[in-house]
Amino acid sequence: MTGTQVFLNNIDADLDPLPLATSNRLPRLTLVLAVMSRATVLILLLSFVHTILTLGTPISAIAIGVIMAVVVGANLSLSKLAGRGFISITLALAGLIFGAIALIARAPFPSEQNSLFGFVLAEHLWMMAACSFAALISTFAAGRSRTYAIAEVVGILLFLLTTLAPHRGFHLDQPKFINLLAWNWSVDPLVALLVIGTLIATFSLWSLYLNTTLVLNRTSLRFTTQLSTRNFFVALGLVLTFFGVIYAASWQLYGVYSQRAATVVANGVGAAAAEGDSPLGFESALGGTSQPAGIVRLENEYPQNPFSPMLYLREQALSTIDGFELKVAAGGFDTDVPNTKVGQSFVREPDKSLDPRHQLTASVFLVGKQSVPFAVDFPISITPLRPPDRRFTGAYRAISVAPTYQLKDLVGIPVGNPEWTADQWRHYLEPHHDPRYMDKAISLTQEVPDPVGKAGAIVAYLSNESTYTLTPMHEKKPGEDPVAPYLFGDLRGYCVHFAHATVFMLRALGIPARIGTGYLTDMSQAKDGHMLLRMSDRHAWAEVYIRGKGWVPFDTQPQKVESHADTKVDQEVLEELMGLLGPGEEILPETTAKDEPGLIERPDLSAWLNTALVPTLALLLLIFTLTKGWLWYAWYFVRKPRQRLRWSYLALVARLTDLGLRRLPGETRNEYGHRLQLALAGSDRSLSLVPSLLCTIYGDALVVPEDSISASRQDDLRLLKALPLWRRLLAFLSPSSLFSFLTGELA
Amino acid sequence: MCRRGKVLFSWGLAIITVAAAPLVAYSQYDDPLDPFNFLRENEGDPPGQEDDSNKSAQELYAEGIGLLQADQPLDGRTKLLRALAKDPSFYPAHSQLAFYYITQVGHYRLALKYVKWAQELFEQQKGLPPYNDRAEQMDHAQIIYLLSQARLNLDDYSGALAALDEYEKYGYFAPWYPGTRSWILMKLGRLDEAIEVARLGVITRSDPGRTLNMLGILLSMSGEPTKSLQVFREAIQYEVSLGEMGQPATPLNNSGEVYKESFEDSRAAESWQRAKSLHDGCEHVLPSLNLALLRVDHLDLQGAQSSMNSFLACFAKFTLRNDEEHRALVHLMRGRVALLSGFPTLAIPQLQRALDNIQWFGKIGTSEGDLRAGTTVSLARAFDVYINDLATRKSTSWAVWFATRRELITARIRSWWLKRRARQILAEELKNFEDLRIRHTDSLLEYPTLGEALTGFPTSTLKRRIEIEKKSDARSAALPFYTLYLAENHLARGSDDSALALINETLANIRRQGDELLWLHATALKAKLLPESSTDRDQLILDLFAKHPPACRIYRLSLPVTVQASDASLAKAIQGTLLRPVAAGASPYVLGRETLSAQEGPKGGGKDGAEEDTIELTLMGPDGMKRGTGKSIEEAINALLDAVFTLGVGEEVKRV
Repeated sequence: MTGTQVFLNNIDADLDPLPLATSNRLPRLTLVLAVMSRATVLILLLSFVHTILTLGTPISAIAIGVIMAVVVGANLSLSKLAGRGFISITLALAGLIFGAIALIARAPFPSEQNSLFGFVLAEHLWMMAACSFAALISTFAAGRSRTYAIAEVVGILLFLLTTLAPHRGFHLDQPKFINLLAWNWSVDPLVALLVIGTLIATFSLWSLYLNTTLVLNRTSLRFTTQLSTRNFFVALGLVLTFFGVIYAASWQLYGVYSQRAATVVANGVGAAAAEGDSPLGFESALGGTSQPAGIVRLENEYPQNPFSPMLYLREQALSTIDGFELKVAAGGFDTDVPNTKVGQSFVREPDKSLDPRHQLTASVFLVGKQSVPFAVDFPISITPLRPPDRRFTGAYRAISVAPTYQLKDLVGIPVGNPEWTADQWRHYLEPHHDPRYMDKAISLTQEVPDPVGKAGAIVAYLSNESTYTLTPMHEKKPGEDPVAPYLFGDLRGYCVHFAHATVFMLRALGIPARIGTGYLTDMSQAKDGHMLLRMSDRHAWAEVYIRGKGWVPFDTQPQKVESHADTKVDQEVLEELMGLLGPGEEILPETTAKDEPGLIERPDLSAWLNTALVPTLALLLLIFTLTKGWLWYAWYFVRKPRQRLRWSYLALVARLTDLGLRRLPGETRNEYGHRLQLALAGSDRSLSLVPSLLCTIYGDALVVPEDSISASRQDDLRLLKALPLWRRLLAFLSPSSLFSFLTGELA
Repeated sequence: MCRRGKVLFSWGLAIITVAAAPLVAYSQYDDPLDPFNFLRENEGDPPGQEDDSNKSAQELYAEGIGLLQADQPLDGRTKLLRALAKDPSFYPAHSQLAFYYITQVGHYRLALKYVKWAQELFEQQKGLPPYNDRAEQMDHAQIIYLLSQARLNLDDYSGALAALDEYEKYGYFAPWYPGTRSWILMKLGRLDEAIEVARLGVITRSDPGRTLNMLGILLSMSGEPTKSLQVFREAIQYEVSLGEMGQPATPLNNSGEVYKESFEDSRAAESWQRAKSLHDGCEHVLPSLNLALLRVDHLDLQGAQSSMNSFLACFAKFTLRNDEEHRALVHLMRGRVALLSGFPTLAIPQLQRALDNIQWFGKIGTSEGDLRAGTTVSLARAFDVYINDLATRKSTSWAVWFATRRELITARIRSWWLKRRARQILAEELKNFEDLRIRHTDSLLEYPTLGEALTGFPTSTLKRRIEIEKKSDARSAALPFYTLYLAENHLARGSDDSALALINETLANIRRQGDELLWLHATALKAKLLPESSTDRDQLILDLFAKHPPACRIYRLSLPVTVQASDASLAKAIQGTLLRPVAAGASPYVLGRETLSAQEGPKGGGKDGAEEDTIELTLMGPDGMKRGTGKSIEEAINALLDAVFTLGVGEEVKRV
């Protein structure tokens, strides 16, 4: 045995794995990550609570206390302090702190203007201390008890679940903060909800993983092997993949139901339908959401509006009876409705058969998904506009010839248009085959001779007797008339039922009628002629053609309301959108608004993402590549043999670590080398670089010949050839060696 | 170029222009990248659409001004926007739009953007101030004025004052200046300076109506009600002298507030009634709100409700006006009326809606914090009453019992949290609890019952704060309020003797007329302090019930009743509720039971379709009989409690 071999054997003996109890050492990075993620989760949770409850104390101040408490709690949980000892110390500390706060609250301040200063200060301190103690206790408990750690995450998830529950039933804009975030991100609320949901779930599981591993690490070294960098990234990858799948699946799911959702959440009036189809739904609607659909700006006055303060914005007309419901008619009918798409121009002559009307210009700026333009009554021109801001999905200007008649003056005027062809008359008078509609209509109108009066009598009857409910829950089999259970049953329903029943009865009486769909908005909630349209403003109404007046809405507005989607317009949203319109807004340079507190805009997250995130990611990628390259090839640039040997070894181990062949905890370099040789080459010797390295580390100024280093390196690198090429190439992308290097595990 | 060349060139240009014009006119203008496409009316306009293409920015601007003056704001605004589309550097249009958004729309952020742009363009075109040309001076002064107004309305008081300083620096002056400056100084807490400026304004007859109003408010704030009322009288006279152009309702409303602060309730009510009857006061929320608040203090809930209803009826005539400014106030009043009528379940959603809709509603001294504090305190109180109501009801099943326990826990937490928030707002947002001054004109607190929310202050702290307030408050009618706050604080800390002494002191000094709610509150607290079943306590409860039946529910005080025919099972059944059986003759209220057969009682089907008997409970008293029926004794008791301890006025809230 040579002197060197004796020396090496001695070293091996010295470096035998330590007994379990003494080598119980947590990887520092894991600990730091656990503390950081815990503090982040708690602060996010508190911020969330703050948005709902208004804690009254700045969240930044609370956050400082929480971070400190989490750090202390994590350290205490890893210490030898017993649970009872912790509780005693915490209670004593809490007593002292809250006692001091109580004293501060009573403290007399000499200034009369600030006599309550002590109380104010104490209230803030109280909130900070309460949150910090909660964080301290929970962190300690999470570090000591796996059951608690799991229960805590489950509790947080349940809390979030309860808070997000208003979203149920396709209320995509609920809760409100999701809607606000969607606004800020300029994305659909559904996307915001899915992103937030996925983030919460990922973060919770990540927190759970770290906290439970902390607990396990404390009690068993064996688990440390599972905390390897490789496992860490595999787990993270699995979690991310898992949630990616969930995200994609839920997206798909919502996609499948999007049509139904669009109808259900819009008072039963879905997005515009194609010819021969209907956008209306008779199933129980879930009410409209307050999700903005667009903003309408009246460009001129409209004091003659016969329906003031309400304004009907027609999108489509349904006049073909198909079975039990009305559907979009083929071309040649309903020509007053522009059958164009948003983004297309449309111009036509005003209808000469109509009495003089008021020319009304309205600019429409769409926020939601709207494919068909809508306008007041009879549009004669639709011109596409450039959306003034990225929040708008489309814009157009509609010029309508709007009605100016008084509703009371319509009585006595004949219905229908004498210029209509026989086909058109037949089309608008085609009745429902069920004779009960005629019986009902006759019974309601037998004392009224005039057709307009008859229409009024029917609407009055329905308004007085019907109950507005979004969930009529009519029992009917597929293929049965969905209107009959309403009209001949409990008279409970919503606009879709009212409009159909009205049209069926009117046609039974020989009055040309159809259904108009679109939006019904309340101008009394407008600001400067700007009206915010929401999904809850979607509406369907019956219309009667009156000679010289055109299609006139005969809308049922029930007195009895069981459930309604009516909500007040959010003036903040309206003002925000108004602020995005108009040339003054568009051409105002940012420098002009500088230093003006009233004009500080909310941070634009998506712009920030565009401008900051991509370069940041690119920079991170560059740093990663450079660092990795340096780790693998730094030996090449080192001239001193000792250093060159050391860096050669590091490069070798880095490559092996990236390939998943990392050195196990407690394993000596020799053992590691033996294991690798055995696994990859089938030989029983160690790595060629190891003896020289150990001599360098532990020996006295041993000079290693340059040739020997190169030869050893080449020899060891040959080992890697046992692995497939693709695996060796992919290894460069693995960050394992970097983490091991940073935590000191690589050497 | 020679003369002939010039002529040929000109003719050539003319021919090309003439030839090209139809081509240009014929081509469809559809540039998707043109930001002002939607403002262009020249191309693609349908037949009949007004053609502004040949008009210059100045012409469009002049038309816009004319339309705005002719009360056609949308047409006017569109013209101004078209003027800007025509010439984006035309600063008068920016300036006019800023003016429009400040005065007609109330969208101050947008106004500030327009005025900043106008300022920048103006300085680009005219150079930096000062200016020698008179027209330039006027334009510059207008821009600074608009800047100050926009900043003021966005609560940037320092910025607004800086703008006014600039205005003064260049030697500009206008009638609005003293009033606006004093308002800003007041907001910055520089009261003496504000009064000085307002006085100067009055002397120089600058916008007299507004400046007098401002001075009156400032004098009232500085504790000089007599002088303040005198100034308001002058303001009223001035406004009346303007005929239909005048706005006397504003100073009338303000003088009413000063009267209220001076505890001259009848004069205050008279002022507000007059203000409400005027053309400019009927549709304005403040006189109606003030009157309603006063009537609540008088326990005239019907009057309070009708005051707000008449306002809403008047406002409803203006179909296009937005109700956002007064929405929170209407909900607040409805909530308080419902609460004092014994309907906490109706009050809570109303008050919650008020809290959700809080915003500044146009009253000079009142901030959002005042409204938030008033609403938060009332909501916390509503939860307390809800707890009392729940805790004194009979559970009809185990499920109901569990649901009630859960509700009780939630309501207690919410009440505690809201009181904590209210104290924070009062002490922090409202500058060292400036609203503690009883009947503070800017406050929306319900002073008689405020003590409940103040129990969270340490006694010594509250005492010290009240002593400071008392030093500057010589109004004898205010003293019982302060005393009662301290009493309630002592009561919350278990110092019953001190509390009782202070309550007695309050009751001894209370006004017989005008402080009905305070009396009710103090008497209820006293009744709570007295031993249960004592004759004195029973008598107090009977007095309270006679005065205001919902008081028993609000303060959880059981009404002593005699059970008819010594019905032991009924006496047992009502235990724990707001009805307490006492010996015959000890109470004028007699509780009776009757079982109605299926034919007599209300219709209702049993499980098998058979009609069930119903139980009817009656409470006979000096004021008549109340009934409660139900399928079980528990149901009947609950129905009777609802009938006995509520007032019909509260139910109106359900209908609106």
